[in-house]
Amino acid sequence: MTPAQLQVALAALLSDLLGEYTTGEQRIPRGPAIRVGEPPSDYRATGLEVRIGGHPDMTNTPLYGTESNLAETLLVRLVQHGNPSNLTRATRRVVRAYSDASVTRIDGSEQLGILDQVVIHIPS
Amino acid sequence: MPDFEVHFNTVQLLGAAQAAFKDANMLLGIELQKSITKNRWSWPNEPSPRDIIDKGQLRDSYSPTPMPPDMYEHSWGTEYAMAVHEGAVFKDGHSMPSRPWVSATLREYDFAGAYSKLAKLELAKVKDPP
Repeated sequence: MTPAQLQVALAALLSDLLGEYTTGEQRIPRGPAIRVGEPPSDYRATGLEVRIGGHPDMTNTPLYGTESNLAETLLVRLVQHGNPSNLTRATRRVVRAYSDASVTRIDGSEQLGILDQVVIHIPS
Repeated sequence: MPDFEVHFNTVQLLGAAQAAFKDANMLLGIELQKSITKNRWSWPNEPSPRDIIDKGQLRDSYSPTPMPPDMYEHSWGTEYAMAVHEGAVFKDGHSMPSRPWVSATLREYDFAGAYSKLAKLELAKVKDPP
């Protein structure tokens, strides 16, 4: 599964939960807030944003002799901009669809300016 | 002398295994902290690669806690430890890359091998009971 394929799958899975990107002071809509990689610097997200890593993480585990197991995982970051939060609902849907995914929560911090977000590693 | 008893030296053998476990975790803790202080993490601006030290709060918040008989906890108490490890998106839209110092160290450090060597040394100290 490529990052682009995962984007298509997640866009369908989370279609009713996704926020949107806008640009400029007039907040011109730029589509649902889901993309591979970082959005352009002038894009602003509202609601739930989904960022998919552009390249899989690779972990090589030696086995017996010269054999090894190369595991690839794709990273998906769900970021909540504002209220109400769709983070939990979105996380549950993704994990139900990809049962071997692992989830890590990063609590938001007003003081540090960090948004509530969840990182999901999906074996590809 | 037809009858005799053989006793399994449980307390001493377990003690040796637990001492080795504690020492192996202390060595792991050193590797974990080295991972924070080494210039190995790519960063969008120069200098890159760099370490994960700004004011040293993350590094200094490391708390190794032996929890006998069979657990050892490694933790970092700063509010932003998870955000540094996994990366984070901020309110103004900018993001910080992940610097997964724990995952990387656990992948690279042969804990089982270190434990095995330490356990062998500890077990060699176990003497016959008087």
